[in-house]
Amino acid sequence: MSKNLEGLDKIELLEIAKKLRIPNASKLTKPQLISKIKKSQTSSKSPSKTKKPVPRIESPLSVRVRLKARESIEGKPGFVHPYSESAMHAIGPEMHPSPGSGELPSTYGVTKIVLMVRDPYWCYSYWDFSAETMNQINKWFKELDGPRAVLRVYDVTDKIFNGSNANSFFDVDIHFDAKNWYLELGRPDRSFLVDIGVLDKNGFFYLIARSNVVRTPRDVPSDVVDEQWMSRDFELLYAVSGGFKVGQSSAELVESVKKGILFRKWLSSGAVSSRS
Amino acid sequence: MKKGYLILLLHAHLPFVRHPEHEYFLEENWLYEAITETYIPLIDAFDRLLNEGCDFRITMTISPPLAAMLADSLLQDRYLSHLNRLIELSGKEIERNRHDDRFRRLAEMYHAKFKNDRYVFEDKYSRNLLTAFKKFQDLGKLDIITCGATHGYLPLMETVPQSVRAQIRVAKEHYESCFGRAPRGIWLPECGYNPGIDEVLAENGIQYFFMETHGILHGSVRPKYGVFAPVYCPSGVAAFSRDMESSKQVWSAEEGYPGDAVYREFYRDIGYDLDFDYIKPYIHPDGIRIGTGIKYYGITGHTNHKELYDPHRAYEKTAEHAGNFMFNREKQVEFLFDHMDRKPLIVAPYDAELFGHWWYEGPQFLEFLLKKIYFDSQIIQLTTGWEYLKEYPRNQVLVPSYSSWGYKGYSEVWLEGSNDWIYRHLHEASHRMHDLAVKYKEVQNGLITRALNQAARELLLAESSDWAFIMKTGTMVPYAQRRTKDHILCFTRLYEDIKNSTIDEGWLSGVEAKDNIFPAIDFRVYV
Repeated sequence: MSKNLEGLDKIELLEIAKKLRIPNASKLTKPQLISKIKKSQTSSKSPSKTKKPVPRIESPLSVRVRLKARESIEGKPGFVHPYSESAMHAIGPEMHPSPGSGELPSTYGVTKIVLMVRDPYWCYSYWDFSAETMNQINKWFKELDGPRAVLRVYDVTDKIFNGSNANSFFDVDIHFDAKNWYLELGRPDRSFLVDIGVLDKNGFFYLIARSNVVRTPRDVPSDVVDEQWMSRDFELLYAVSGGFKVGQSSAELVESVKKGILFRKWLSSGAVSSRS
Repeated sequence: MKKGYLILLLHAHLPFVRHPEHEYFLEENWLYEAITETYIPLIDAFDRLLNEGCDFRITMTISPPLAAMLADSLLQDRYLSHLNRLIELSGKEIERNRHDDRFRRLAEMYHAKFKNDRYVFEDKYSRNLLTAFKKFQDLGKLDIITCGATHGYLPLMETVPQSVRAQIRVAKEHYESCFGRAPRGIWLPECGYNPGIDEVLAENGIQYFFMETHGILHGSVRPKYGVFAPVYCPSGVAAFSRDMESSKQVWSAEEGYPGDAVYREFYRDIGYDLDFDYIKPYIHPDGIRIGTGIKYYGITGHTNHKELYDPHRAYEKTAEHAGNFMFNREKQVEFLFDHMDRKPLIVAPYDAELFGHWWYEGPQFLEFLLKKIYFDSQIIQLTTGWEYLKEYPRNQVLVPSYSSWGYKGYSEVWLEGSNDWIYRHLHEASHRMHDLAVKYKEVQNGLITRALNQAARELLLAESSDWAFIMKTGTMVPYAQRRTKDHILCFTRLYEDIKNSTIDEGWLSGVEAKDNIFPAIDFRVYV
C-alpha cells in the first residue's frame, strides 16, 4: 500500500492519516505525511492482540471534557495530546437502540421574525410565515415590478424606533425559503432590528414582519472610567487581567515593569488610544 | 498576614440521561464514568482532608440534572451493577497478569480502587453521593453553587425571558430540596451572560455568579481591579470573573499539567487493546469496543510507544505540580497585592470532569493543592464567593458585557450551522408554555396540572445546552438531535392535549416515569 502513497493528493493522505490516528496531520507537509503514514503502518501491526477489526467508540464524556478543554483557552492552541487530533474523528458507528423517528414541524404557521446575537459582529435571524402571508408574498411577486426578498437591517442605537428614525439601514438579499440568515453587522455595542419584506424596483418596501431589538456586545474596553474607583495602578491591573493582551502572565508583566517597557507597549497597542 | 485569595471552582455537570426503557444505554456511561473517576475520588480527597484537620475551601457547581441523576434510584442501581462488572473485570485482570508483576500490580490497584468505590458509594453514602457533598457544605468547606435547571444557555433565550426565569427558579427550588438551604451562588451555564440575567438571579435571592474574563473587562465601566475583585451588577448581584493565567496552567498545551509524560494515558484502555472474546462482556453489548477505565500505560511522549504506568511516579508528580501551581499563584498575588488597596482575588474555574476522568491524577493534584495552601502558604488563602463578599461588601458597580466561556467568547458554539435549527422550536415551545401557564394558572384539576408540569419538564430538558454543544462537536450527534426532537415532540403533544382536553393518562404516566426530573416542579414558573 505504501508504494502508492506518493501518487495520492494531500486530502487522500489526510484521510489515511485520520484512520491511522496520526496527530496533527493537517499541519504536516505532504512528504512528512507520507513518512508518518509509512511509519505508522509498520508500527501498528505489533501491539494489538485483536484478531479482527472491531468497531470502537471513544467515551462520550471524554469528548465533552476534551473539547471543553480546547475551548476554555480562548485564542490559544488547545490542549495537545498525543492522539487528540485524530481522536476527534474516532467516531464509532451510531448505536442508538430504536431511535424515535418523529420529526419537528417545518412551520408553526405564524408570521414572525426573530433576531439573535451571536457575537459582537454577527447576528442570526430566523423567520416563519403563515399561509396568508405566503399568499400575500406570492401575490407581490406576481404583481410588483422587480420584486426582491430582503432583510432590512436598521441601526437603532439610542432610538425608540418608529419606522423612520433609524441611524442607518442596509438591505440584504435573501431567499424566503432559507427561513434563516446570518447577518454580518460588524458593529459591536450597537442596537439593531430587522424587517423582512419585499423590495420593488422603485424602492418601495413591503413589510412582512419586524423583529425584536438586540444589542451587540462591546468588543473593547469601555471608555467610561468611574472616578470614584480610579487608582494609579488601574491600567496595570487591567492589563494583567488580560485586558490588553489576553494571556500575558504576571511573570512577563513583572519583567516588563522592571524594564519600564510596560506602558510603552500598551500605548502602542492602540488598546488605550481612547484615553491618550 | 495572607496577601490574597484564591477561589478554586469545579463545575460538575452532565446532561440528564436516563433511559429506563433500555437495559443498556451507552450515554448513561457518562454518569458512571464520572462517578468512578471524578466524583468519588473528589469525595475521598475531601474526606481525607477533613480527617487531617485541613480547613480547605472549594466551590463546586452541582448542576440540577447531575444532582437529579445522583439521587435517582434507577441510576444508582445501574451504577452499582456497572461498578460490580468493573470489580469482576479487574479481578480477572489480576489473574490474567499473574505472571507479570508489573501489570498485575496495576490490576490490583484498579481492583482495590473499584472495591473502595463500592464501599464509598454503597456503604458510606448509601448510594446517594449528594449526601457526601452536602456534608462538606454543612461543614463549611465546600460551597455548592447551582446552575441553570437543565444547563440551558441563557443568552440565546433573550426573546423568551420566561424560559430564563424558569431555568433559574426551578434550579433554585431543586437545590433547596437537595441541600436544605437556598443557593447563594450560581454558575451560569457555559458562563453565558447578557445584561439582565442578573436581575433574574436577584429575584431568586442568588447573590453572586461567575463569568468569563472579558465579561467584566468589557463592562460598561472599566473595572478598577481588573478581574481580581468582583463587581456588582446594577441589580446588586456580584459577578466574579475568571483569571486566564491560572486556567491556562491546567489546560494549556505548553504549560498544562495533565500532559506530563508520567501521567496515565487516556486512550490506551484494555477495552480497545485486549482480545475481543475476553473483553466482550465488559464493552458495548453490540460488540463495539469502548473504554472500560482500566488503563495500563503512561502518556510517555508524542509517540505510539507507551511505557507502563507508574502510579508512584505519577503521585510524586501531582505533588510537584500542586507546588508549582501554588507557587505561581503566590507570585501572582504578591505582584497584585502591591498594586491594589485590598487583597486580590484569583478565580480559577474548571470543568470538574477534567479532574479524574481526563486527567486521572487530577483529584490527587487538588488534594495536594488544598493541603499545601492551608498548611504551607503564607501568602494565599482559599475562599468562597460568599466569604469574600462578607469581607469586602463594597464593590464597584458596572454592567458586565455579554459573554461566555465558549470558543471565541460569545455564542458561536451554540449557534452555528449544525444547531441553529433548534431555536425556532425551543422559542415556540417557550411561548406556548407561557400561554398555557397564564391560561391555566388557577387550574385545580389534577390531570391537567400533571400534564402542564410535564410540559414544563419537557421544555426544560429540550433546552439543555449539551445538545447544541454535541451537535457542534460532531460526536454522538444523532443522540443529541433525537433528544431535542423528542422533548419538543412530547411537549407539543402535551400542549395539544391540554388545549383540546384530550390528555391520555396512560401515556402521560409513561412520560412522567421516563423524564422524571424535577418531581416538585410547578408549571406556574412560566406565568
